[in-house]
Amino acid sequence: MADTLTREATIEADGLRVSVDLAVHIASLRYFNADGVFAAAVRSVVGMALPGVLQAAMGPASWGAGAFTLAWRSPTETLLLGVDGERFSNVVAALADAGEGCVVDQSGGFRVLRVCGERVFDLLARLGGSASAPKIGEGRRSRLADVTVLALCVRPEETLLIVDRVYAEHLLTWIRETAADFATP
Amino acid sequence: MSAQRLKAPAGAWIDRSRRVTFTFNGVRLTGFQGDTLAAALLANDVRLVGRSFKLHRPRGIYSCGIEEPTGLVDVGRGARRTANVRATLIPIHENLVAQSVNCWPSVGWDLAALIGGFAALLPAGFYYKTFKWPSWHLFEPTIRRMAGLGRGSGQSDPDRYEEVAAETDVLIVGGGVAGLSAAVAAAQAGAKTTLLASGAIPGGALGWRGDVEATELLEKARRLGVRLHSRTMAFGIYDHNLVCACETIMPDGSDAASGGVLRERLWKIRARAVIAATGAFERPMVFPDNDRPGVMLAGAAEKYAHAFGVACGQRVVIAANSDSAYAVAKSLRDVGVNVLAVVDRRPPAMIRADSCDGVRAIAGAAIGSVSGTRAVRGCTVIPLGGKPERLQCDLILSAGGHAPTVHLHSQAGGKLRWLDESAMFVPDGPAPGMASVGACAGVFSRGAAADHAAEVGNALARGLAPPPAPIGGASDERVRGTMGRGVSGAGRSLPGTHVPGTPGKQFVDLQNDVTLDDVALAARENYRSVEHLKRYTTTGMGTDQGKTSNINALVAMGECTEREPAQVGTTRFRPPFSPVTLGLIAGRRVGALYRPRKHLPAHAWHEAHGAWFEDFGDWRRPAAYPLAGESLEAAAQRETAIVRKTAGLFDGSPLGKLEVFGPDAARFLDLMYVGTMSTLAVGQARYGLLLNENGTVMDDGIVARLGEQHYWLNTSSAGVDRTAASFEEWLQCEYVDFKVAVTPVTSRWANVTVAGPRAWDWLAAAGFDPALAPDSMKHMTLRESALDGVPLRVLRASFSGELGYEVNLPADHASALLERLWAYADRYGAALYGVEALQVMRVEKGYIHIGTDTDGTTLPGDIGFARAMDRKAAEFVGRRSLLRPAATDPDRLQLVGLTPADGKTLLPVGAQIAASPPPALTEGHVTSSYLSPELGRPVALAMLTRGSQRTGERVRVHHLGTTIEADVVKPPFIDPAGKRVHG
Repeated sequence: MADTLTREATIEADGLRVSVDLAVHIASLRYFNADGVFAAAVRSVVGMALPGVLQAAMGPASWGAGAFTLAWRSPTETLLLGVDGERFSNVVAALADAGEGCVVDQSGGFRVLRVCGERVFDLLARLGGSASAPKIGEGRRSRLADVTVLALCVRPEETLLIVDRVYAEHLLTWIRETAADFATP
Repeated sequence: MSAQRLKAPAGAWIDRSRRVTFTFNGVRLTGFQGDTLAAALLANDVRLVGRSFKLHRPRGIYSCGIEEPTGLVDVGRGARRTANVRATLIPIHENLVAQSVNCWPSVGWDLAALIGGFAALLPAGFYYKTFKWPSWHLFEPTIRRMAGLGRGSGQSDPDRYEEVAAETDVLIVGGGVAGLSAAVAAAQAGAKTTLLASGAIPGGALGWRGDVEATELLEKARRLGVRLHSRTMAFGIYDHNLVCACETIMPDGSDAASGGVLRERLWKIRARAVIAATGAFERPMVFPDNDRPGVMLAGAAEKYAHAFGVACGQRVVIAANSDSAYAVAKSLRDVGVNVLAVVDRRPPAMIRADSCDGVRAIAGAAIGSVSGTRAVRGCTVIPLGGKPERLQCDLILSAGGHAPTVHLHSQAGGKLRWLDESAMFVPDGPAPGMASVGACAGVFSRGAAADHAAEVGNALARGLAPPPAPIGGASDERVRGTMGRGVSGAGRSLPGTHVPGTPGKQFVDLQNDVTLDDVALAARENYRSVEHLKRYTTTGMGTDQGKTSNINALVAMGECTEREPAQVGTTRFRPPFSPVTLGLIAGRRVGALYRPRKHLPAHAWHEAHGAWFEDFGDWRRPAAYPLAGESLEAAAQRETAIVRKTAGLFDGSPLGKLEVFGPDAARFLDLMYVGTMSTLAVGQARYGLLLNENGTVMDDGIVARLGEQHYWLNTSSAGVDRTAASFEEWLQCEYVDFKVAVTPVTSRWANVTVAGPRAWDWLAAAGFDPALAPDSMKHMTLRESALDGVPLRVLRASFSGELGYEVNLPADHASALLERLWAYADRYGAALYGVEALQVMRVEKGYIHIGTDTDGTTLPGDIGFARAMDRKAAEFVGRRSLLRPAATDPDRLQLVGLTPADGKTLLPVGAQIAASPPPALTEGHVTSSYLSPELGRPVALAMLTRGSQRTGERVRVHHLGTTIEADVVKPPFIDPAGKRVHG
């Protein structure tokens, strides 16, 4: 079964391109100790350590097939993102019995908006927070367009906005209206 | 003609080669590019601009900036009409349309001006006293109609407004020399620096002079990377140095494309340090009829002359108690304006001989009267102890010294102190996180202001304490003739210039028609506090918030009550510094973006299948699926009947979902729920109530066990966020040693519910695992299953009272499952059903809905859970609070069922139950009420005093003047044995 009515959206404006990345799988890694058994298992299975506070860790071929991204979300939670469904499932399965933590598959529960261009910062500032604009390798969770969004900078002029699925339409509408005014100085 | 355009070089800001046509009160006029509306009106000798708020007296342009109290106009047409805009701030443009406010039928012949004839009957607070008998409500509609000034469009604003967040190390508010000096110093110290200037042209109040120093500073600031925002007015400073500012992108009254334009931008700037360099306002002199068109601030007239090339009059008298009057006189004479005299309130000894510079000074004198109603025609000068002298003039300027613009400092929590020698309030040291420089700090010497501002900019950029301000500057010879002009040596303004027997009102507050007599009346009636003075007389209210009136009003109050101004004090300045549009505050939050609304994963599918969407909490959900011509209520009735008879398909995706994991999960849930969850076997589910620490019902839902350390929780749709937050709080603050992870998964899992006697047949036909059949999967159990490889969590539970399957599946597959099931619907005569039908069914079954049948006072015992609590030996959150006497009060409201005695009248939700019509002691209220299609009569739930003991009793339900008799029954209304849920 596949959701036949899922809509993709792309917004383009001067210096900005926003698209919905439906291919990303997401899981919540929950643990009781960021340095414990579960963290070691993550390092072993994913190949990267759990990131520090407000940090994100990307695989060497970030967003290439088979690579993962880890994004800190709270002291007991890190998001695991991956585009290769099979590898993602394998990782989730491998971590299921790691102990001292658990994996909660959140795929489809979040929407990932890929924001590219030289005006990424301008957009984030107009969504509600300049403090929300992450530097490369940072993940910042804040209130954008009146909803909670995790902004994750994966490379220069490219940021991922991870938003609860139910608010994705709201966020996209706000971005669309903002981008329409980008031409105004 | 009195006011007229001056010849070049006067008019530094206008482009005489570009004529602009605009309309004022229906008359087409012309001005030049660069003119403000006020400048253009004055250049066209339009003196009468509006009518005053209370007495409808004729008023003209009084100032040249944001402090304008009287020159208010409505600008724009149709939906773009903006009310009460200051003419002094509107740049004219081709086809600008402006209109006077508060007058009918015209500003020249205003019917309401007749009120002026009864002015003696309308002192401050008159409506508090006059309109009490026989009832305030008799007068209220008329008074409300008369209140207010301009008129809004009454239509939706077609334009757009946006909000931008920014961060900076040092933020400077004000683009004058002091502000620029601070910005340059801060930037040189390596700080990320931002400067906000309210005008289009930086340079501050005297920017029209083409100041070389200001220009150099501006260039330097640009080179150093200072972010400069012109036309950006900081209107408020909030906690932790959050400064909000309005950037005007398209001025009011602009004609724009029909689709709307980006009109304003709200800047929300978080700054490590803020420097206020906001200058000072000129203080008016108070004399009889000082509100006539043709009376204005001296500095304003000078600016109109030099910046806009407009002589506001040809024969000028300056009423003064400040040296600045002489500088203005000279400045006006330089461009050809005839200054007749400076009427100086101060004694001759206080006037510096060199300041007069050929201008006639009448020392120790005051203006005793003004002739002319719609325009000044002359005045009488009364020397104290001398013979009155009549002067034929067409312009009276007011030079009463300056009042530092301390608004931001005050908003930031800074204190003020009164300087008696200069008659002004200045910041008493820096406010937390900010400092003041330049005139707003009481530093009127240009050189000292620039030096001090640079020191402050440097210090704050380095995180050091700012140096104290060198307040003063009157005697600084270096700056005379440029900026200083000795204003700090202004001396006390003496408002009591009224000469006995001289008619004419002496206005303190021109916008609110508050006179010296009103202040005196307030003092006599003991409204001595400055806060009382403001509320009683309305001085300092309105769109200008007393920018030209505050100091004179409190000085007057001080004199009436024999107190110094410092003892009278000031009101606390609050944001906004100047009015801002509602559009600016709303920003993008209009229409679809008014608030975030949650959309179902299968929203489009429901849309395509005829859903009638309504808001339920934050969710947009199908209330029903009406057929052509069918009402919502009828659709809900039809859907209910179909579910009861065969089966229905429902999208329950908003149902709250949490996964709770960890070795202490069972123990933790036992503490959170009234029910015991640790005894659940894997695959079993149980209903549970959640209480807060006060014992009141917070939420409810089903808990199912997925594994030894793994639970699946359903909460109410609206309650999932607060439940998750509550769990986190308990874990982080109380049960810190528990190893439990609570993860919200509402959006990950859609919920497709199939309910009704044929529910399983339908699912089986769609290919669901036979192991889910009712005979092998009992009510209140959960199975993990799959359909075409898609994982499912299937819960046998029912909110309808029928055989029910809640199929939880990854949200991406919700539409596909709905489509798949819908393909078999006809086989069973099944239907889609919405929230309305679900509500009907749950009321028929007597199931509570948290927040509808319960409120912030409902305890578990009130809704029939007393025995469940008794059965549980272990502790749980809220239990101790249930031991309080109030919790065991026999008179508590308890959940009951109600049926109307006549068997047909629907009991209104919210209707009160009482022995007699209101006002009466209420016994309870109706919480849920629907027509039951199965029973063919209305059924309702209610909270009723001692309800559990009153079954069979007849009660009276009152609603909007009608009384309905109803019988108390024990729910449920159908299937009391609960057989249907088992299939």
